[in-house]
Amino acid sequence: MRTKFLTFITVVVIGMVGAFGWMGYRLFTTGFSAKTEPHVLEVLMARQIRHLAIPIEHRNKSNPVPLHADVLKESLAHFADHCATCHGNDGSGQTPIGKNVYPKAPDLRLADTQSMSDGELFWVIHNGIRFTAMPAWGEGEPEKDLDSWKLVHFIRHLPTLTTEELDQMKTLNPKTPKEIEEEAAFDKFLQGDDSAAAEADRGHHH
Amino acid sequence: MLILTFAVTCIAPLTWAHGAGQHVLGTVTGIDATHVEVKTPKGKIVDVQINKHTRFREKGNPKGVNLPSVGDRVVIEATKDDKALIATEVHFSPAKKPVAPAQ
Repeated sequence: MRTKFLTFITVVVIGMVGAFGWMGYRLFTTGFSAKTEPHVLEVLMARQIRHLAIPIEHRNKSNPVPLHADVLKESLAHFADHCATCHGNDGSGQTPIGKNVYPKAPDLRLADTQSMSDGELFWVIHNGIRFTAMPAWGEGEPEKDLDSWKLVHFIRHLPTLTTEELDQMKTLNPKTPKEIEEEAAFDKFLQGDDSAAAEADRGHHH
Repeated sequence: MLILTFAVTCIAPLTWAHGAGQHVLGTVTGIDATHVEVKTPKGKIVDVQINKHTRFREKGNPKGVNLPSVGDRVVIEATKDDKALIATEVHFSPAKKPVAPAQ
């Protein structure tokens, strides 16, 4: 019995040394980049950890905010202002930040997110996810964080977002003075002003 | 414990990165269902892929369903992956048609 136990411990220790050795080798030779896609095993483990990190009574909570047109309108504006920088207005995650963080911002329209319970979505918005770029947005008591519950409704609405809603969101996205200047230059270019291309060319453009 | 060790050593150092979106300005020199080719004011030819998520916006006719054609001015919002630029939104204004000479 004791021999078996020692064998087990030895195998575990060798396994851990091997894993650390492999990670060390990767770190000091090739380095890690946030640009890479997470390994499928890592995704599986991370999702399990996220799932387990949400207390069961919170997972099963239902949305206390009734779904209403005004709620969707309000949460659309909230999402455009706070979330779209990383997640994109359409929730695809196809933004300069969302595509380059590790792990990548998920496509919120797909089953991996839509299959989460309302309680899980709320928890993620309110508490964030450790070791990812997702911050904790909630302040104070979760029971009073109705804005995050409203966002849960909007996340459910993302797969059926209309073109008109996307256009509305674009007007609500936060913009830097530089971006406002660029938009004006793009407009002038479309109107036939070639000099506007030089103005717009000062940023990250072709 | 193993999971925690894995998370701390492997995931923690890999959180934030930074990148940039792309805009392509120019005149359409070619277009089909999968890509649009644009000549920039500097004379560079840029190829941008189109997919089912790409949206088209005609100047002065935002609800129109027209697509840009060769000669039109475009401002393309795009994302860049490892290999290509992918258009998310194409703003365009139709090229001015030449006025027929007076008879």
